[in-house]
Amino acid sequence: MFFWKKERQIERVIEDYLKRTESCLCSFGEACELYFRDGLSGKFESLVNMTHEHERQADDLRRDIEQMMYDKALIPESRGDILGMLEAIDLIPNRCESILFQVLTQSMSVPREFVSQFRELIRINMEAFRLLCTAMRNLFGKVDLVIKDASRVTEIEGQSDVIERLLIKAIFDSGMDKADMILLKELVLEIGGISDRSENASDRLRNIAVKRQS
Amino acid sequence: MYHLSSSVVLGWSLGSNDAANVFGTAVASRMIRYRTAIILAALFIMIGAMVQGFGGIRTLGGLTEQTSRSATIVALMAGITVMLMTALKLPVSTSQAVVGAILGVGLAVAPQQVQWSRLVKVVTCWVGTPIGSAIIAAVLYPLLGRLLDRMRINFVSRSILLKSVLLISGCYGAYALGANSAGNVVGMFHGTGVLEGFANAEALLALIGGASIAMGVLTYSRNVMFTVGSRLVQLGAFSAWIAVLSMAVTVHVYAFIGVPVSTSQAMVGAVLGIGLVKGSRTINRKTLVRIVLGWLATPAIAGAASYAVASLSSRL
Repeated sequence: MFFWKKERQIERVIEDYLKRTESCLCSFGEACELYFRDGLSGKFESLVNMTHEHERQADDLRRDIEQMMYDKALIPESRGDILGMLEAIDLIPNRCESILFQVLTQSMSVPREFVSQFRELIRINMEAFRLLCTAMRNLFGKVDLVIKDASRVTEIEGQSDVIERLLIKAIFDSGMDKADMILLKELVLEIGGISDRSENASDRLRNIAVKRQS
Repeated sequence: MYHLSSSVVLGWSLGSNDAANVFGTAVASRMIRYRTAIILAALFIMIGAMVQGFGGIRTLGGLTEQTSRSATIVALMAGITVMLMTALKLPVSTSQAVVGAILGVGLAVAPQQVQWSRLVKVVTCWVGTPIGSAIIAAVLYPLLGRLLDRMRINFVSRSILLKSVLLISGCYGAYALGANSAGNVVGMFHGTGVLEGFANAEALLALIGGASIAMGVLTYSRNVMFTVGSRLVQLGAFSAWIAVLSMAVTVHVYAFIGVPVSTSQAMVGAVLGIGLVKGSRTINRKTLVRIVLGWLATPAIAGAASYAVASLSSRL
């Protein structure tokens, strides 16, 4: 409809934002994989920069959406919901970027025996984020599916918690240097933060969906 | 014809105040641009006045016998009362000020010609306005709410739908405002012969009434629209829509009956009705007291002022 082109535009920009955050997560996953395989390298550093670039572009898109909201798009109560959602989602690419910078600046090394568990932890946390993006897309499509998607994110976050606990226990049972143990534990918790934040964001989504249905 | 200038001022003041009830929520929450809102409001007010404004014009014209001089006093005193009470931040309704002023002049000039039965009908409608609006809102809220939920539409479509219906209801509200309030503005001149010589004096009166209200909307409604609208925004888009629609239906019904009523009081009634259905308190006791005070004080002040001026003028 000619009158409501801002509404349609906002749907498109939110989709662009989600794609950009997914790209950020993808380059984060690739950087982690490369790091586990080859350790710190020039290629790893360029993937860190790429992650940072995606995160920056996602931030720009988020600002565009905020501007559109202040410029009369959507009904007032929906504006608040969307802005809150974007703030919650925005913490996730930030977290990915910060994990990679942590690995790079502290020249961390992950012992071979923990690599497979770290890989699994990263995989499951990325999965939580992907599901969050699906739920967000469904908010603009099949609202009925949002609650189901959000429940799945909660379930995955629970699985991530289990892996985190097992990994931290294994790290502290390994007899490594205490400082290294603490650094690795922090890394585990930082990675687990991705699914924690995905769960927080999906809880918000669930509330929005329930509000729409009641 | 210069006598009608007092009516034009009255219409301008009514338009600048009452447009807020029609498009206030949509404009204050930035769902619709202020410019779009005032253009649409002005247009539909004009249409409403021209198509259905005659009923109110005849009713107010028939309350008592008027001359062009007494009608000027009525319009002038009603206008002054509205401005004075607005300046003192007291509740005021143009309809009630006009009826009070007509009665005042009638009692001063020719008390035996006051049509008391018509007056009773008008006062009954005043009381019926917020009550009727509350009932309509209480019925529409669950009905349309259920319908909206059944549609199972997504986030953006819901937003577009609510914005569209708010816009349409606003246009309808403006139409009802024009149809209902033209009588307030020019009704006192009906039958006075002020437009003698014109082929269709009644239509011209409706045009002048509608145009002066529209002028008030176009030139001076911004502040009231944002102030009143901001209060209603807290209701949410759906409730705001129900409130505007209920107000519009109520005011339109009274346009059919031919009795000018207050859009502000219809709006208060609608918000009260929504609150009753939602189980929340949307209107406090102070607001209700202010409405009742408006019913009594406005016509009393306008009536006393016009009685005094008309008595003085008849002795000169």
